[in-house]
Amino acid sequence: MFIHNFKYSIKLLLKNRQLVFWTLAFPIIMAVLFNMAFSNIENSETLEAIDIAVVDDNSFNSSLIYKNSLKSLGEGDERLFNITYTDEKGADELLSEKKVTGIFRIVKNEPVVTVNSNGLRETVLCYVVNEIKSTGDLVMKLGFEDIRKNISSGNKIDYEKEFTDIAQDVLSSDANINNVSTSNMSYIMIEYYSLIAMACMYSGLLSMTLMNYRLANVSAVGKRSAVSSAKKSRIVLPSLLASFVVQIAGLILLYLVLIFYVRADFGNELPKIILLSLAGSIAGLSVGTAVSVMVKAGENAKFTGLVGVIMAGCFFAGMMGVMMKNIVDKNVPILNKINPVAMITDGLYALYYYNSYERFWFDVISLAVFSLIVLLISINGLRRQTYDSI
Amino acid sequence: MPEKVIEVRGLTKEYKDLKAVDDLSFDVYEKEILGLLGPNGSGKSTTINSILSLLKYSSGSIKIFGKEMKPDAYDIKRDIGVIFQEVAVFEELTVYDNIDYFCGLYIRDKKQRKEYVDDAIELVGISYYKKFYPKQLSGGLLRRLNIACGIAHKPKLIFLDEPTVAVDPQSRNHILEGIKKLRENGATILYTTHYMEEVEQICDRIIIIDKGRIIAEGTSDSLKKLANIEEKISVEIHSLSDDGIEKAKKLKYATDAVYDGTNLIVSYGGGRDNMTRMIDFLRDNDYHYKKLYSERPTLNDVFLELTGKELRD
Amino acid sequence: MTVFNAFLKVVKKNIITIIIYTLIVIVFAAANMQTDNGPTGFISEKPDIMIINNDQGSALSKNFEKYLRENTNIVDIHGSDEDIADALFYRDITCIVTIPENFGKCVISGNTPEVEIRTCGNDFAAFSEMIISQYLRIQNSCAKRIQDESKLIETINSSPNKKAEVNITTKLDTSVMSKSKTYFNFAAYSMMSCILFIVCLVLSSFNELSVRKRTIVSSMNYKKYGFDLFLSSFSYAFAVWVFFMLLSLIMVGKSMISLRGAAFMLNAFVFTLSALALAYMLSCLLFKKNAITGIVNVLTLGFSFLCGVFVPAEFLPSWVLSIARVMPTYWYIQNNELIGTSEHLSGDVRSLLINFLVMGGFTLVFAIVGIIVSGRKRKIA
Repeated sequence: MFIHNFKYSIKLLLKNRQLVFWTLAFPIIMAVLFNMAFSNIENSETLEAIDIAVVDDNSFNSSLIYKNSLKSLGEGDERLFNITYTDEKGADELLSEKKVTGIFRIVKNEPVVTVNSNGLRETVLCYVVNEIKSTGDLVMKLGFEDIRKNISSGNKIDYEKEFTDIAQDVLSSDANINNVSTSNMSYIMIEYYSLIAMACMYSGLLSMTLMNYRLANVSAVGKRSAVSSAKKSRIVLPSLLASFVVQIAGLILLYLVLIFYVRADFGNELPKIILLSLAGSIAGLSVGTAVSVMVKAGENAKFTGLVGVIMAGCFFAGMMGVMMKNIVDKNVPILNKINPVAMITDGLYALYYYNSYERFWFDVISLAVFSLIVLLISINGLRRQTYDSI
Repeated sequence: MPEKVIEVRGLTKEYKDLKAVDDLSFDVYEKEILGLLGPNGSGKSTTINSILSLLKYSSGSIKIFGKEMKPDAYDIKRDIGVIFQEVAVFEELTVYDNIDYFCGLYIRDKKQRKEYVDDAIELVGISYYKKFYPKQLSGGLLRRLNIACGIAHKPKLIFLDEPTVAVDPQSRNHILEGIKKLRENGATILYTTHYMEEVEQICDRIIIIDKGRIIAEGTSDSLKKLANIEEKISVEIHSLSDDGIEKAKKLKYATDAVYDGTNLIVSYGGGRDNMTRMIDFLRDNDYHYKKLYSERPTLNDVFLELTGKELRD
Repeated sequence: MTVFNAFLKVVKKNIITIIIYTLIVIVFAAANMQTDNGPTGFISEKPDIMIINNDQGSALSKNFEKYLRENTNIVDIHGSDEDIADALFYRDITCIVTIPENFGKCVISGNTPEVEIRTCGNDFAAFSEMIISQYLRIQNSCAKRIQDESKLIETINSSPNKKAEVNITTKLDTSVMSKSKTYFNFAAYSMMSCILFIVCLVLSSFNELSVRKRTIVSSMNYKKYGFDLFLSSFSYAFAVWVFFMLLSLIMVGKSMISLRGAAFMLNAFVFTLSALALAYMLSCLLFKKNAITGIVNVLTLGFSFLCGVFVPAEFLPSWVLSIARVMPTYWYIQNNELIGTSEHLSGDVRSLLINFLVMGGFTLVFAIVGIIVSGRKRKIA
């Protein structure tokens, strides 16, 4: 009877078009959408060369410091600025058409920057201009100091060389910075993780549909099951297993899309990721079973309700905006400690980002505990199945 | 003495301030077809659901095959088949798969099950539609499928809860014949309906219930005697004065006369040759009539007599 | 009247869904809107960094900190290493600077101590790196010539008092503008969802075969019936628009009562019309209630992701934007951008009108397709 029920459960699931869409097709559609929307976002994060206009007049040409500094900053592949040398009018036009971030000009021997609005690029431009000024002054100061020393010790001085040497020295000095950043900083990965979490939780729709078929107060066929001589466990367990199998098939498809099309980075942690997905799917199954057994409402209401609850969980786990997860974790941490979607998302994040597995195992165990509690509630509800009204 | 298959004692089901079933007691004997007749809302389905342990009842005891009926009495359930009022089939499975699935909840052996499923399909006459989906079937065929799903495992006791609602006459006949065949094969049947013609056609005994109570019990003939009507004569007359109606009431053995503008219906409490006297009456008073016929009382008359209401509302 | 009542019934039944979509807008928009109040001059955008100073005692490291404090926002993340790592990941801080032990001693002795940084790799992080390396270069090259600590510090700090003059041309209160823009962009998702979901549900239940058969044989004039349906749908959509506009007054504030605010609202209204027409077309094509939930979700999410609602349009790849052009949401967002960032609205009226026309075109196309399909269906029924 187990196999009999299992076989028909699978048939029922696969022939239900709505179910197949939500659990198999929808996550894949979302993955494709994400990929389209996010593929460029982190390229745009890097600081590209800033477009500026420089008013190339006599005042500018006589300020060697600025002239030379800007020139070197505007050359090379990794240059900071894309410089357009033009006249006053041209510069103003470029700025008003937003073709440049800002205009640099020398007015009465002092640097003046004109920008359209506030922003990072504008800030960088101002910072660089100020630093050129400071560095220039510093070189002067150091140079004079050196010259004074030389004069007092009676050495011969080549003034130009002196200043050039010092300038060279300052500019090529080594800052000795060690950048130990990890390469796994793509925060868009959170979106994909919450998508996987959503797909795991959608297994609840599968188990709920099948459970609805077993409940006498939900469906007419449920009545048949209730009056039959088949023991409840012989009906419920194959249903759960069938849901699990279909779920796994859906997850495999999703992972294939994520790995080969989206090229999401899962590193070397695939076994642990699989474990987490399985735990997440079981959590989803248990939620679906519980909703079917415990919530007294019509089939459609339960279905939309469950979809709604899962999507809300996804929202707090960061699927519609990565920052949401951060906000919840900082302000209402308890919410994401009981939100199974967040447990799955967090587990994947921990694998991706941290060096130790502590947090990952915590999430896996949380999921197991969550599933157990929910399943126990369902089983208890199933036990006494005579109703006050049918 | 035939064995008692179902014993119901003092069954009561209360919803807040309404008693859906009120102190019901009756027995169902082996190999009989017992009809449970009553208007909509009389408590028929509630009774069935309570007997099947689908519904929690307030008080009473239920025994089936001599054993107390409980939700987990799987050995009893093995020999019970139920056909509910609503069509209970999976839209996603074919006709064959539906019957096979439900039969499989009782019969584990594959070979035996296949045999049983084929028998069930044959019994209800839907062999042609084996590979069809429920959506493609008409109302009557769906009902037949519904029945096949309930009896495929060859149960000894069958509950049919209004199985012919909204069914075309051809299907209905087929169903009723099928039920008789099931009894011939040894099943006991509890049949609820509000169609008195069906009950008269196939039931051995009839229980009439209203407002959760049994108001009459017996065979079709014994019940009709309760109606205090032996005979009814209907005459199609175009115009009849009140005077004429009064005269008709005074006919020998007549208990009542009703005229609805087209037909004059006179009820008799007894007597023979009522027909002859009627013809004489019509001729003597020079009433022109078109049709004239006599009939025995119906269960509706019984119901009307006992409750003042019609069976069909 | 019966049609209208049916509408109300469906709205009531699905009120929770509507509430959820409203909440989504509120939470999203609130989380993404800036809170600084109207700038009157140029404000630097400083990166957020965290300093871990393992050489608390030395004056040089304190000086380094002082410089960083002037040029960045120092954020102190309390908590475990994990919390700090999280803060970096979520871009609460863009850089962590670790000043090593014996930093001061190292510098005085003429060596260059290794300073460890950990960044999140974005543009702010690059800027932080720029700032840090600038200071260290100055410090290290000065240290080669000056061995006295206090003199060294004095030299490093001797920046001219006068900084470069910065002029800012815009007179726009950009923070309020970006607030409004953010709200109206997100509202696209919720407004479209509310309209599509409810209108589709109602209209398709009227279009369902059995109901349609009844209506066709009834004595009700089908033209009047059609008009009733249209009027009810339009009233609902209008109510949705009014609701979200009132919400904007609460979320964004008084600045909505202006020409620019009116422009935003007008844009939203034109968008509402196209959403309504789309709902009508969908209801003619679909009839299964279950299919509606799925398709409406995919459409609204799809439009929102690809047209610049959840991810700003400037970050979307150009090929995605070309696809987005066939969606009405794209043109709505474009108009929002114009209204939200242009200096003088009057200069952009032409572009605004063109986008309005495009949205109007969508409305027309959707409506016509719907009419043709439902006309065909009536014959088949």
